[in-house]
Amino acid sequence: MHKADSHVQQRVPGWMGEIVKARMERLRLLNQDGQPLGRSMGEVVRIWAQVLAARLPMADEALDAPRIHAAFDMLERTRDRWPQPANLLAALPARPDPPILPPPELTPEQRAAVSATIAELRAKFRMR
Amino acid sequence: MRLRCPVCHAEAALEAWAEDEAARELMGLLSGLEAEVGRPLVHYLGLFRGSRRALSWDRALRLAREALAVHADGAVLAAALTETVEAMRQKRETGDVRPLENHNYLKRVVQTVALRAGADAVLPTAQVDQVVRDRARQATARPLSGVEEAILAVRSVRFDDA
Repeated sequence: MHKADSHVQQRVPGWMGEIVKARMERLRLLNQDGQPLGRSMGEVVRIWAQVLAARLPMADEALDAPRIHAAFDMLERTRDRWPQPANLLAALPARPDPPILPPPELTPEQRAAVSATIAELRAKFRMR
Repeated sequence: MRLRCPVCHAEAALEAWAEDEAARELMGLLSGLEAEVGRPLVHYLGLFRGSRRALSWDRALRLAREALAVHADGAVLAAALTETVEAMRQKRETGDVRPLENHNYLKRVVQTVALRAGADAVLPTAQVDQVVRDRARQATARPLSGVEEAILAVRSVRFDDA
């Protein structure tokens, strides 16, 4: 594995790390089978955060923090064993669609040109 | 009516003693104390009396107030006063009859008594206070649970720009 492909050196934005810490603390309190033991939990949190940051290299707090919370919500609701980072990534919802722009305004000339084109096509295909 | 001080053996009329403001205050102070504190306190005050000079009422009043301020717990203070008086009595039997000059010895005895009793009351010096807090912490110390260890480990993680 090339170093460039590895998440091991992945820089984790502070806001993302804090979310992972807070949510994994909650997960740990659920006392699920397979959970990390004692102090190892600190390194487990770091690995999860690095994996997540590698998946979201262009992460934006406003757009992605709600997604990460939603993914952890899903894990809390559905898992009855201690999850893996892959489960978090799988539960990550898509970014919300950008707002739909209104159709462009046509000038009278453009509108006339479009009408002419449509009329031409109708005549060509013998449409009424 | 003539009264004789059981500590310094000074003898005077009750009216004469009552004429002194400090004496009146001291009597009022002593009469308001529990006997278990008041009795050893009177003997303790006697330890400040020199062999040739009687203890002035002013000084006795000041010393009594200072001694009472050494510890908040009356039981601890009473025990410490009693032990101090007894220790000084034994010391004087060996020929050392120098009067006390301050409350340092009493304070040390209070520390010992308080620790022995496991007292939680606020003690007079920061050092003693720390000793008592350490003792209380040790008494309640227990191994961390797995969950507590895990939570502490999570909270100790730091990220790049957090």
